[in-house]
Amino acid sequence: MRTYDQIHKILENSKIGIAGAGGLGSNVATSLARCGIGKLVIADYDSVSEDCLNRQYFFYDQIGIKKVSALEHVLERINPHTKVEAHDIKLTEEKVIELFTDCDVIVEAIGDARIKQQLIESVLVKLPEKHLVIASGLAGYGNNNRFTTEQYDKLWVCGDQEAEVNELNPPMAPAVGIVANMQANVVIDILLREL
Amino acid sequence: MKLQINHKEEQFEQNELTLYKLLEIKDLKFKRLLIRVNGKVINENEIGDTKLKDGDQLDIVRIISGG
Repeated sequence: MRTYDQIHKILENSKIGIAGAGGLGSNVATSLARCGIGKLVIADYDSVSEDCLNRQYFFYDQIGIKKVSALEHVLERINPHTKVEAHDIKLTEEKVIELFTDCDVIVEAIGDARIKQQLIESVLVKLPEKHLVIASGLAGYGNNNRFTTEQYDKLWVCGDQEAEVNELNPPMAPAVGIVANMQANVVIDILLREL
Repeated sequence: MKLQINHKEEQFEQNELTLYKLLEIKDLKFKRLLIRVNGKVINENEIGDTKLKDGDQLDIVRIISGG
């Protein structure tokens, strides 16, 4: 077993890439910053709006601000020792490789299913040696036990692989937070097992 | 034939199967899926041409919107 100091040392020397700074990404980032991860590389093109606040780690006075800037401020207040590299861009298959190529673990935190799939496939094909932690199925509320973590080599899948986001099944803080923290928990586990 | 799907062994009556047919059997044809056969990513337009053989290992992950 590692001591707290040994754990801290490993985490502060780690670099994690987070694709997306919405419900998953903002919650993964704050969780990892609290754990003392040394560096987070975060990419998103969107801005904070009022309807984000039911699940995303932003504040009312941040409405209108770019998500990556807003998140940078939140993370600075949580743990100023975590360095943040924020990219205000729309991720493409090429960009995701370029930005995250030297990260220890990549977290997929994209909302749109088509883009989600493109970026996941791009990482699996071009960075096959990299651990990739994705989320799939987190909408709605209740039934905590539907959420699982499946591992396929270096691909980790958190969520219920079922619940689509739609009018009747909106994403809400509790379930989104559970899945985001499942992803963050996998990241910590990978780092402490492998580094 | 036997296939290893998401770490579980599954038995099929057919001796030959395409990936397309397998997805049909498993009622997954119209779902958005991430698929790997023996570790290789199979994209959407390769599904029809991908022939499966006994002992193949598949990862099939449903990709759901929301993040």
